[in-house]
Order: sequence, then structure tokens, then C-alpha cells
Amino acid sequence: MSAAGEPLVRVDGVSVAYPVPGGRVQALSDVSMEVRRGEWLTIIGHNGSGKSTLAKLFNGLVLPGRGEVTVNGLNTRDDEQRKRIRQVVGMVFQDPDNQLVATIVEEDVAFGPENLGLPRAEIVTRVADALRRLEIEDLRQRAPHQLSGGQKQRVAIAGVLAMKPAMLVLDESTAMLDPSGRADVLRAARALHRDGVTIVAITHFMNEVALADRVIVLSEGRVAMEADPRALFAQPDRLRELELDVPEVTEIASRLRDRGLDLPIVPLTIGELADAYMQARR
Amino acid sequence: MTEPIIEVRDLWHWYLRRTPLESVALEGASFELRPGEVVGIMGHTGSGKTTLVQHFNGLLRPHRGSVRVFGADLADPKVDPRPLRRRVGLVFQFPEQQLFDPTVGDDIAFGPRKLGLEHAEVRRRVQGAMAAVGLPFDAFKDRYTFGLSGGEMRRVALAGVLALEPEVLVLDEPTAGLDPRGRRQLLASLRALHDEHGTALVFVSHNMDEVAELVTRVDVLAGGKTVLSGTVREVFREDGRLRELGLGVPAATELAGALRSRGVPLRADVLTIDDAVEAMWTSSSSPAA
Repeated sequence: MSAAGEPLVRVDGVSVAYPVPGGRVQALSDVSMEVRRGEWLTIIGHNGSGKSTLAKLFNGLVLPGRGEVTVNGLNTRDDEQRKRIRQVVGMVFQDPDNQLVATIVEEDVAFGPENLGLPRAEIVTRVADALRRLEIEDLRQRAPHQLSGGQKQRVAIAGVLAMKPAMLVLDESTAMLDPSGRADVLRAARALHRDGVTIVAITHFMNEVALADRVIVLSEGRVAMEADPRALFAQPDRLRELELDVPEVTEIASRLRDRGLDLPIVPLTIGELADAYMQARR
Repeated sequence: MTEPIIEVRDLWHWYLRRTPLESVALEGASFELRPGEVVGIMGHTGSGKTTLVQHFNGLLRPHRGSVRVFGADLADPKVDPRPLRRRVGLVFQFPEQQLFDPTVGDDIAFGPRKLGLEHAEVRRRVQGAMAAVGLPFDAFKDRYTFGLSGGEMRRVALAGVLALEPEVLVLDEPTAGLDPRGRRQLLASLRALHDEHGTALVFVSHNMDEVAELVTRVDVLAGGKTVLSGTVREVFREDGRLRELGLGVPAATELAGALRSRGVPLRADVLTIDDAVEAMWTSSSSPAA
């Protein structure tokens, strides 16, 4: 494998268990996977399947019980390296109300770079750049509590972006948002991905999975499936066994196919299904 | 037509009222629920949905306007709202964060015990509530609440409210954060509760597909006011308006719109996957229609 093909994150034979009163809960069992540079990887799985634990391994928020996790070749067990790892891997979580720390948006975005001890001019440049890329320049002087959920999540992403990470992990970052807030966050993530940021997205919304290059399905703490979205949604029965589902458009197409309509592909978007239907109808 | 059991007229509510940080949350909202109805409330974040439903059992009192629940006038400060809380059950967002008893059975039994019910009646209610949310009594009653999955915890929290046997169940974003199977099961439980016990439901959501599937009537809030109100089919016909309000339409409705714009004649009120499949199948077998 060439150096360029070397994965950004490598998870090798990792098991994680959490202590609970009276025993231990196994969150991950012998998981091996990688995050490739520049890809959009989506991780799905039922509640309790281990998705969030896996995501938290990527920047050392959770350390493996067994096995190794390396980021850019740095081992997350190494206390000395953890700060560097967290600059490489930025995370945004589910709840927009407990991720912002400052009283003004631009101070919140500056918080990370300030902690890196960067020169003032560099901080100013990074904050301006992050606000511009998230399309929230108009919010820079606002107080976080005045913002909508989608705006707060974009401020949180801007704060991560100001650290110039190679990879952004969105851990159910759209779960609590209304439709326009979700659309804004996803548009921002797509723009960052186009600019070369590696995206790892964890979601329960099957129609967000279509954005991925590659999908990993977790079940009971193990990798149960790995495929691109189209190949994944071509296996609806397997997904249902794993307590998941297919997007509405895929479901509609599959029921029309069952009735004999010649719809040749697994559509991922409304436009794709509409086009395929126009062909089949002729 | 039967009398409404919840009737809200021109309701105003302010947070931090009469302070420099005062902000208005409701500016003349209205709402009606009749016995056995299933009504959806939609609106973008900050539109006032949660503030509105917190008036339904007297958690909040009207600052202006009227709220009548089972005949009680909640604008009257002398009216005690506590008896209403048995009749109107409120399930908050992320209710699993409010579980506090170590075992599932004790957590669900907490409410009925507080009502002073006899042991046998408490047990009957816990069993009934667990059955309604699809948690087998014997397998789950002694399980630790913290060892459950997110979907299971959500159902335990819902069962705790159901054990009070309310006539109206108000749910604020009940499926947020649940996996697809957890969502399906919860929606099926709610439908069964309505069909078998006649429980009236108020379903607050910004998941358009779930609203289309579950409810018969929808109110849309924006800026603390009720801006759209009607049957689910009437409301989702206003797709342009819904988008302006930061909402959307169900995937099936959006697909039907995309097909119509490509010249396919489809009926105007495609809401669910079933609707879309039927309409597209009909149209494909008679393309000249």
C-alpha cells in the first residue's frame, strides 16, 4: 500500500467493555476497520450497537480494552500524542445545547485555536475562515442561546474546523434538528468533504446514508456489514434483521418492482427514483 | 360534534417575563383536541411547540388567552391543575433521562404507587403499560434501567406515563434518536393504544413521514402562532408554505411532486409509502390517463 493509501484511522482488533454495577457491558467485540483519507464513511446500527463507542475511539475519548487504534500512525493510548490526535480528529455530538462554551459565537469558535497557543493573527484568520465556510458569518456576534439548533450545530462544527482537522466525526449531529436545520448541517458537511475533509457520520436517518462513499453497519458491538449505500440498500431483509431499514424511496421502488414494474436500480434519492420511473413507464 | 377536551384560544406566554431578558414564546396560539383524536403539532425549533403542550396539564399557566382542559379553566389561578395530570400524560423529549429507579418494574410502578393504588392494581397497571409498549413483563420487570438500550429506555419512560392510564397522551418528539426499529415499534404501540383504548394522542414532531403515518389532523406553529391547521392531507398539500416555515413534506409527497413536475398525472394527496406505491402503480399501468 502506498503512503497516500495509508488509512487515516486504523482500528485493529478492538474490544471495549464498560463497567456497570454487577458486571460489564461489552460495547465492542474484536472490531477491525479503517477510515480512509478523504472518504465519507457513515456508520449505522441499532441503539446500543456500539456506534458512539467506535466514534469515540477515533480521538481517544474512549481507549480500547484490547487491540489498538492509530490515527495518522499515532497510537491513541499514548498520552503524549492525544493532543495531536484531537487536532486531527474533530467531533460534534448530538445535543446542540451542551457543546458551546463561550457567550459569543466568534469566541466559541476561537476557543480551540486559542488553546493551541496560536498567534493572534492566525486565530483571527482561522475563525473568519471557519465562519465563512459554515455560512454563519452573520451570527459571529450573537449569543449561542439565541440560535436555532441547526445554527448551534454549525457553530460547533466551525469550532472544530478552526482546529484544521483532517477528519470530522458527526455523532448523530442531526438527530435533534428540524428539517431545515438538518439540511443546513448536511450542506455544510458536504462542502467540507468537497474541500478534502474526511467525514465520519453516525446517523439513524437512512436517507442521510445516501451521502456516504462507504457504510459500516454495527450490530451487537461487531461489524455486521460493509458496503456502498446502493449495495447496502439492495439488502433490505438483512438490514431489517439488524433492526434497520431502507430509505422511503428505496422501499417504494422495491414494492413497485415486486408488482412487476421494471425499475432496474436501487434508487437513493427522489430524483433518481423519479427518473427511473419515467423510463419504466414508457 | 363532541366537545373539545383541550381547547386553547389566543394563548400568549413569555419567558423571563418582566425582566430585561423577556422573550415571547407564544403569541396567540390556538389548539383543539376532541376525545379519541390523534393530532400532530409541527413547527421548526423555537416555534413554541413545547411551550404550548406544557399548558395542556397545567405545567405552565396562560399569561393571556384561555386554556380549558376537561372543563377546567387554567387561566383561573384558583384552579388546581394536579387532578388533570392523571388525565393528561405528558412525555417530554428524551424522557429516558428521567428514569431514576434501578429496575424497570419499580420505575413504571412509581406513578401508580403515588396515586395510593392497591398492590394488585399497581401490578395490573404496570403489566398493562409494559404490554402496550412491547416490553414483556417477565423478561423486563427486574432488569436494571441503566443496562437497557436507548429504545428500551424510551419505552420504559413511556410506560411510566401510561401506567397512570391517562385519557390524553402528549408526546414531545418521542422518536428522536431512536433507531428505525425502535421508531417503528413506538409508532405501532401508540397506534394500538389509540385503537384499543381510545386514548387521544398529541404528537409533536418534525419528522414529516411519521406525522403523515400516525395523525389525522395537524397544526403548524411558527413564531408562537398557529399558522396552518387542517387534516394531514390538507396541510401537506401546502408544501411551499411548509418549506418556508423550515419544515418539509413526507418523502412520498416530495416524490409525487417530482413526478408531477415530470408530467405524470398523480393525485394531489400522496402522503405515505402506501399512497405512493398505489398512485405510481395506477399511473404506470394507464400511462395515457
